[in-house]
Amino acid sequence: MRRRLLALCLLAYPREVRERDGDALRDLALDLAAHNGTVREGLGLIRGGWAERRRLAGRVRRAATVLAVGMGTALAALTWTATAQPTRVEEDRFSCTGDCRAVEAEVAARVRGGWTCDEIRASDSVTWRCTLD
Amino acid sequence: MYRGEVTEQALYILASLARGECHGYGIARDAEELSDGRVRLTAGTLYGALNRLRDDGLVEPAGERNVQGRRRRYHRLTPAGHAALAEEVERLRSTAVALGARVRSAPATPGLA
Repeated sequence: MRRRLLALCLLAYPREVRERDGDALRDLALDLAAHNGTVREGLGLIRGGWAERRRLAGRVRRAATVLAVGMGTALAALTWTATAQPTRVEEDRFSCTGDCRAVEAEVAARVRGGWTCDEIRASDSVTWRCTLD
Repeated sequence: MYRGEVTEQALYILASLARGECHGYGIARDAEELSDGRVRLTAGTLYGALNRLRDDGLVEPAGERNVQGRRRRYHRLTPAGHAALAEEVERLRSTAVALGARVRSAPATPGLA
């Protein structure tokens, strides 16, 4: 009877705690019940079980908060990297002196392909700096 | 130095384990004896308190043994647990000294400053 009552009170504990420590807890409660009384031990188990549930819930809440903060930070860092620090994926330079038709055709093709090309003129040559973001 | 709060129950558990490794039943009986019957730990209370002390690094498991046909889990103090107990006892001692001095110097007739 005493064993059954204490086993019932043990149900107040979360399942994982019962599976891990249930037998030891019940044996300890049985030993102490002989001294403290079964009712007192039973109530102690119920109180302890609820406290353990609160403790586990708090731990899950803390883990979720840490995860959310971590993901938020990572997302913010990614956003900042993408917006504030645009990276040049590719950069090519074309130069020519004299007849520049072939190079100009290449630069025009690049511009059509989405590249941005800046023309830099010198006294005897022309250079295009083409970048693709 | 341990920064957490040592409750009265935790203090008696630490004091009980200061003698050496012990199982839950032994700790509960010893705590009751040490406190002159004031601290009576149930299995639920003891389990929670031991878990917290273990999380705080003050107590560690010391294996399971068969005692009189029952499997009992043993616990022991860690070095941090010994230090925390010594600190708490010292704190209580200084508190008792300060309060004792106040009581001795207080006027015998209440209400007269």
